Amino acid sequence: MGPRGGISRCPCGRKLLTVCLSRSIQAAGSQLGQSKDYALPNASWSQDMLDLYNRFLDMTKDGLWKRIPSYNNILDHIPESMKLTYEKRKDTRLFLRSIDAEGAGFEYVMFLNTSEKRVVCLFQPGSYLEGHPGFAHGGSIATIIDSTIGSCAISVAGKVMTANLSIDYVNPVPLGSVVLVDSKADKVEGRKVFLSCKMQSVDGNTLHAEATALFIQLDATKAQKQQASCQ
Amino acid sequence: QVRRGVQGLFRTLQCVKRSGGLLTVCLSRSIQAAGSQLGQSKDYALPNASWSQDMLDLYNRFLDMTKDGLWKRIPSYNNILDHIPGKLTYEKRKDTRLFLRSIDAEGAGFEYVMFLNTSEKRVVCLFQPGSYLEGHPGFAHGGSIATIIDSTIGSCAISVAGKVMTANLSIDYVNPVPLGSVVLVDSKADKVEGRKVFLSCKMQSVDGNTLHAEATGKDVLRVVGGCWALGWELLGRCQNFPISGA
Repeated sequence: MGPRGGISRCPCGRKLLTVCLSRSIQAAGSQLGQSKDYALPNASWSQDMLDLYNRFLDMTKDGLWKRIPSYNNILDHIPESMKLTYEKRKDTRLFLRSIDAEGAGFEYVMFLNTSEKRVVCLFQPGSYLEGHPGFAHGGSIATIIDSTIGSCAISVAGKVMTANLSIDYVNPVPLGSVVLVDSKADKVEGRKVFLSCKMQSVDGNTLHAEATALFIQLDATKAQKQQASCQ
Repeated sequence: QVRRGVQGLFRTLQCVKRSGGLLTVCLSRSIQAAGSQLGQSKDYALPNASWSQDMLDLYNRFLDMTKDGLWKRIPSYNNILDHIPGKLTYEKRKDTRLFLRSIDAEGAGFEYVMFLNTSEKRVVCLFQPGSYLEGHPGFAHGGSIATIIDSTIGSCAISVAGKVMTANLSIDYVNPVPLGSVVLVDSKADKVEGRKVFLSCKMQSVDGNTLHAEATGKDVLRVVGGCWALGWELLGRCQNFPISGA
């Protein structure tokens, strides 16, 4: 990667100019596609996954739905203005993008509908997410649910953190199958955001899991987040 | 590698098995058992270079407690089938990996080891989240916390009730867990009602000063196929496993 986006100093002590340069180079780098967007079809996606993806992609045409890009480091999801707060550790990876082998981990893409306060995630669990033989681990289900609900909470309330997550596991998810994770924000009470979520099979016949969650808003920069975090 | 050699032999026997019968199946199982004793599958629940001093100290403290037999260290492999006796029930997919052992780079994923106390119906997990588990910058992802809690509670449920499946998991996130820190996940079975097993769990910092998360879980016992009691076998495996330092 290019120069760090942190505070750097010239031997003479000046720092302001270097910071601006770093930020420009990083921004330019992002536009040059420096960080790979994983929320796009690849060879491991099944036909079900592709069909579902195209269906939602069609729905983005009138602007009601937006595809949310996904990178393998959390800092790539945070708008430039916020990045300086964090020291970028090159060796960290966003948990859902931690498995390198294509198709082996979490294959997913999220779509956001701001007016409905809804985030839908298309999810295809890979062979490295195994729990019971042939099925996705309960923790991997919890992870994709936490992330989907979390994205919904962020779109509604800005910077948030999970306070409670409660999941009912109804039917195990076979590895390689495709599920739809549909989350929405039910209500906002002060700094509390209450959300719910359902995970269903592509044909809608099987309910795999249901969840409710409570997220707490950390600060009030909601407008900035909403604009910057999705294209 | 010994493993590949044994696997090759096993594959040959599989071919013979299709035309053969009982004798060939028994041979396969003997070779598999022999292979396990030859260390065919690596046990990851042992110290490695990525473990911090806190993790090592905690591990040694629990290892001491295994000496009088009340506590047992639970071995951990990177494929679920290595944890299950009577593997032939399942078609072994070589390309699958147990989720908590899916990240190859040492120290980058879930570094953990579990200890079981049967009489207290308790499983304790020592957990050091690596840099590939990131959620909020510098902290472990809520999903990774849910994963280690589900696994710890699940191991406890298995030891109490045999083959189980998670029915409900409810987690209160109290304080975020910094990447690279060490936490203790303490789970116990609270009660068993028919096929339902109710458990609870706390995740605390090593010094006990910070409560990171609390959880309740309900596992439902389901009997599938040949009704083999996974729980008892797991205990058997712990007893046979050499209890010594790394």
